[in-house]
Amino acid sequence: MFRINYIMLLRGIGYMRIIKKFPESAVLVSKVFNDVIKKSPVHLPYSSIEFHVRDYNTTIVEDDKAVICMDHNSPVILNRDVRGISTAIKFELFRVMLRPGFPREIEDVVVGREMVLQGLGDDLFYFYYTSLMKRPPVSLIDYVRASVPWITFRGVDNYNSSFLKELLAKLQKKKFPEASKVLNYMCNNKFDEAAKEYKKLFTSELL
Amino acid sequence: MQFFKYRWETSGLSGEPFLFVRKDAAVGKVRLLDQDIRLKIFEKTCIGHSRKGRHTPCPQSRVVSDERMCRECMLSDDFFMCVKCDGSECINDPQRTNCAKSKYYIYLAAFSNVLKVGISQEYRVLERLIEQGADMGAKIALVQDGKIVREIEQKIRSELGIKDRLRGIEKQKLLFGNPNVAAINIFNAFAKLRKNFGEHLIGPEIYNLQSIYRVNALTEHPKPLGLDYGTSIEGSVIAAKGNILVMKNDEGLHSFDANKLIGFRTELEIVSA
Repeated sequence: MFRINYIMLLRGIGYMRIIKKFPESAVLVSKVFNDVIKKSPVHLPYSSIEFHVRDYNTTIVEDDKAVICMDHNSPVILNRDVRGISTAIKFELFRVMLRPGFPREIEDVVVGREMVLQGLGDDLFYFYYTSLMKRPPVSLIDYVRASVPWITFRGVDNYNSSFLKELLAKLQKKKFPEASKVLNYMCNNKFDEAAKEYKKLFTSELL
Repeated sequence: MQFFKYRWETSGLSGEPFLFVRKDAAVGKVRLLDQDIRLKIFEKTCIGHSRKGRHTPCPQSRVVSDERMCRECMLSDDFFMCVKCDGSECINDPQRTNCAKSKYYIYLAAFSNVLKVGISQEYRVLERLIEQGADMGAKIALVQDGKIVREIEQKIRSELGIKDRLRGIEKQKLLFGNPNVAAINIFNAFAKLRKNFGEHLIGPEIYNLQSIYRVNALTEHPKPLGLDYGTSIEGSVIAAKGNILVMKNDEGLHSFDANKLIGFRTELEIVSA
């Protein structure tokens, strides 16, 4: 059973249309979304934003419309963790503001760093810490995803970065040396090179 | 000095709470009930970590905010990786063998009209119910293996639509629990679990814990008190319901969450005994 809600939000001189589609079990996520979007300082130059809670994460931007999908199996949603849900939504709003245009994990670093610079580092750390403790990496893509937290904080908050890196080392049961090149590029802000390496890595993995 | 632990010492259905303090290398415990105390709170620092059964103070005495341990101590602590355990994949291999051998009770704890499910090591289930301040509690299942017991706990939580944790501020609102409501909630929940969890359930043992806390001596609902750097409190501790302490002074009754004191550097004076 899905609910669909419409909201018109006054933004600057015009209105932004917000469409939310979510299952009954995600009413809390919808409420948190309302709180976040009303207070969000993020500049969102869109005529409409669609927010879905469904079975995967994705964010699509087309012209002046954005679609944000959050996975209802995310640990913060399953645990009804308001701080975590709020951070995840803010993260996606930053993403649609910045529109980095890289593969998702690389975008996550760009977006996360901006959030840290905007003073949301504590929330982001909490979100990453909670997520890492729930989903230890088992595959190559999991490992790249699980490396995003420490890479995000690297250079902007080394204390949290080294904690997240050591935490990952404790969680990780298998090593993935093939990921070192893409992670190095991400660490050094070489996002275009990281994107090329990422495509090579995961296209060849699919083949 | 620094508070590093708050704990009830119990014997059957009686007991009282103590705060454990550390000053330099010395460790001691402070009796709270019926004591006139004067307490001033300063900064909060890491309480250190446990490794192979031994507690080690934080080598850096790092200042912390919301958490009790600094990042280094978290990573050095034997049980830190168990904190978020929900029975899915184990991420704390070194502790897994002992965890798999141990037996745990699953209990239902009623805080007035609020019900929560929890687990406890077999040998300390009553202490666990008392230290949480439940009005009533019931052991409902005994299970070997910490991973399995967490998994069942989460399924029960979901089946009953109840909580597996209650914050201090919620407990302060539920200080005067109605034992009849608490008992009915436990019976109803147990009956509901019979269908899908029958294989794990034991004949429930139900405990009425209200008499331990001295809450019936309170004449009014205490005002909740937040604890932070710079807070000073003074008065006589007249009741304790789990982690909620009730203090009486010239301004009336105040309640606060003793667990929130953990980590704070303090000046503590026992005015009279």
